[in-house]
Formats: sequence, C-alpha cells, structure tokens
Amino acid sequence: MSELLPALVDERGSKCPVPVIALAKAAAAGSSLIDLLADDPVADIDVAAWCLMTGNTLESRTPLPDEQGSGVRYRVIISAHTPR
Amino acid sequence: MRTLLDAESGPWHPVARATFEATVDAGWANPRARYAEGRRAAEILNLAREQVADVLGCRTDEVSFDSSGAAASRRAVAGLAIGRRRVSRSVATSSVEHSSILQAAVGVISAGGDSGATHLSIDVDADGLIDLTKLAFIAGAEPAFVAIQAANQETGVIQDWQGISATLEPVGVPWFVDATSVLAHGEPPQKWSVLTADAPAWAGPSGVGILAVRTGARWRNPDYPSDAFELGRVPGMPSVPAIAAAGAALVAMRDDRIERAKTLAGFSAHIRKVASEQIPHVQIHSTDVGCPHITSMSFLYVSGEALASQLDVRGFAVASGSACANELHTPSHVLAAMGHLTEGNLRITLPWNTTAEGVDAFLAQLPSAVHSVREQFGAIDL
Repeated sequence: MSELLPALVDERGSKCPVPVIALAKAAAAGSSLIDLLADDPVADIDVAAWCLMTGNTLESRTPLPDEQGSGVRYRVIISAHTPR
Repeated sequence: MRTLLDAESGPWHPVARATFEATVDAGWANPRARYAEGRRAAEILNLAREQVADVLGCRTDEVSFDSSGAAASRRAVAGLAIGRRRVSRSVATSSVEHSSILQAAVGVISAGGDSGATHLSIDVDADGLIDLTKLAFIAGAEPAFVAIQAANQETGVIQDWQGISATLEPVGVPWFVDATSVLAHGEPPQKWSVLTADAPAWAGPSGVGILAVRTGARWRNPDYPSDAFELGRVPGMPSVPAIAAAGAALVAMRDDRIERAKTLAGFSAHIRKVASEQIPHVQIHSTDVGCPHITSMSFLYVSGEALASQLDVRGFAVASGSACANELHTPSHVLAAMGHLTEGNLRITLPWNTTAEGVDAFLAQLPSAVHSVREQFGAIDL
C-alpha cells in the first residue's frame, strides 16, 4: 500500500458550500488523507454527505481543543477519486 | 413569463378566488352575531366546515379553523399536552416534523420545568421513514401524544399511516398528524386523534389552517377559559371569506385529484430523471412513491441561495432548504435527519396548474444555472 499523501485544509470562518469545495479540491489535487478544519455547523452534515456521495471515508470528527479556538477537525481518507 | 415551482405559498385556485370575492359581501359579519348578517356568515362558515369534514372523513363538529397551519399545529401540541398531563408530561415527535411542531414540543417541555418531562424524538432512516418497531417502543413509554406527519413538507416522503395508527391505537396514545402535504393531491390519513393542515398547500388562501379534533380525544383548549368561536377551540373572530375560499378550494382539488396527481407525478419523475442524468454530483431526496408534486434535491459545490437567485433571474420561483437561504443560517433539519446533503438544495413543489411547457423551460435552464453557480465558486472541475 502506498504512503498516504496528507493535506491540511483550514476553512474556519467560511460558510457552506466553501468548506466542502476546499475538501474536494484537496482530493482532486491528489491528497489521500485530508484534515479539514471548519467551524460552520453545516459542515457536520455536508462533509459526511460528501463522503457518502463520493465513496470516501470520514475517518474521524474531533472538536478542536479550546486553545485553537472553535471548530472541528474532519479527517477524511480519500479512497475514490471522482472522475474529471 | 414567470414559472412558479413553490406551491407551498399558492397561487390561489380560481374557485378560491371566486368564493372569496362572493363572501366578502355575503360573509363579512361576526358569525356569532344574532342578527341576519351574522346568521348568514355562520351559514357560510358552517358550509366550509362541512366541506372540510367531507374531505377528511370526520364529523363536522370536529373541524375548527385557525389562522394558519403552524398556529393550528402549535395549538394541537399544547392542547394534547394539557389534555393528557395526568398520564404523561413527555411528548414524542418524529425528527422531521414541521418546525412549528418541533418548536411547540420544546415549548411544552420547558414549560413543564423540572417535572422529568422529555421530548422523545423518533428518528428517520436515509429514506425519511420512521421505524415502526421504534415507534412501538416509544409508545410503550406512554407519552402524552405522538406527532407524526402524513407526508414531509420538503421531501414528499409519505409515512405508513396504517402502521402508525395500528401501533398507537392499542396502547391508547393519541396520534397527532400534520396532513398539510397530502391534502392537495392525495388521500387524507385516517384514525388520527388530532389533525392539522395549512390551506395554501391546496391553493387556498394563506391565513387559514385546519385544527380537527376527534370526538373524545384528550385535547383541551390551551387558552382556557376561552371564547366560543370555532366550537371553543380557537379564540377570536375568524375570517369567514378566507375560510370559505379554503373549503371550496379543498373540494375543487379533491374532485379531480386522481388525474392531477398522475400528471404531477409524471412531471416530478421527469425533473428527477433529467437532473440526475444531466447534472453531475446531485443527490435526490424524493422518490416516485412520495407526494406527486414534491422534489427536493441538492447539488454539491453549490450555494442554495445563489442557485435560487440564479433561477429567479431566469424566471423561476423556487425555494431552497440550504442554510444560506434562510435568515437563521440553519440547514434543513429534515435533510440533516436523513443524513443527506444540505448545500445547493432546491425544494420544488409543483402548483396544481403546472404545465409541461413550464417544466421543460425549467429543465432547459437548470443544468446551466447549476454550472454557473459552480463557476462562481471555482468548482467546475471537481
């Protein structure tokens, strides 16, 4: 199995659909392990829905520690690449 | 030319308009007044009550009118909570009820203070359906009532009414049903304890809701002591012309509903087919077995508000359930409960007079409208 290519995408402060677009762009750029940081509550629903629709995996959902401010880290494993 | 794809707010059926215009002159008076004009208004009001009872299959004296479906639903919740408070302070609702019902349920629970009362929520699956086994479990806890809608206002998903009443009846838990979404083109549910509905859904005027309370149901007027309007269930003088228009529209819509439902179902199936075939990354939340006039769908990488505005500019009036499309920035709780996508949402409810030309014009524009919003967000190649 090849190495996972990680990416950190910080979309705190942006509203839907921007966090999901940033996630999809990181996936399209070839990242296979993406940490998306977002504080739009809608991301809770739509990141999970994106994973279901595109065949990828929401590995974990972790609220950020207080010293890093509000927000959630979504760890997504890209196993399917959507055709261009 | 404008094409309306949001039937939740109208337009009025011609029968509603004609009835309204006729009764502004004939039915303006206080229906409780003892003079001739008042008796006339009371006759018109009672005719509307008979029309609604006929469509619902209930007794005339079980039907009252309120100022909207939402107001009627709040009154249904509050009245059942009071009527059954000796049995239970807890209430149960599905997670996909209209927001007025969920808000009213939260309200009666918080008004109960530290009584140990809880709001039991009945989840839906990814198809929007409640699990009857879980319903039986919740009914076993004997809540004051269970609120489950006949069909969903956003997705058109129709619940298994026979299964619901067969589960609740033996344990004696009242079923409160919001029938708004099925009354325009479908069969009304049966065996409920309390039923509510909103007249704009069947092309009646806004400002009229139905509150039907089954004889013997443990519902009490939450405003007790109250006046005697609407059989003592809803205070204040009702708008007789608007109610007459709502009753006449309901009967007119019922009389040709089978044929119309077939036509609208065909349009909706066509919309879903074209959207899924021609537009990448779409999730459709509605199916052919739901309400014939409703289609909800969401597009990835699209702002629902931007898409609705884009379509508005192109001549189409259509609603969105995305967070960005409402003032509270909250996404549709219905889609969230189903675990479905909420961004880029369109909520299409076809009016009774939708034409094939209107649908075709919409479908000719939808793919490029989605594309143009994705372009704005730099999300074409995803």
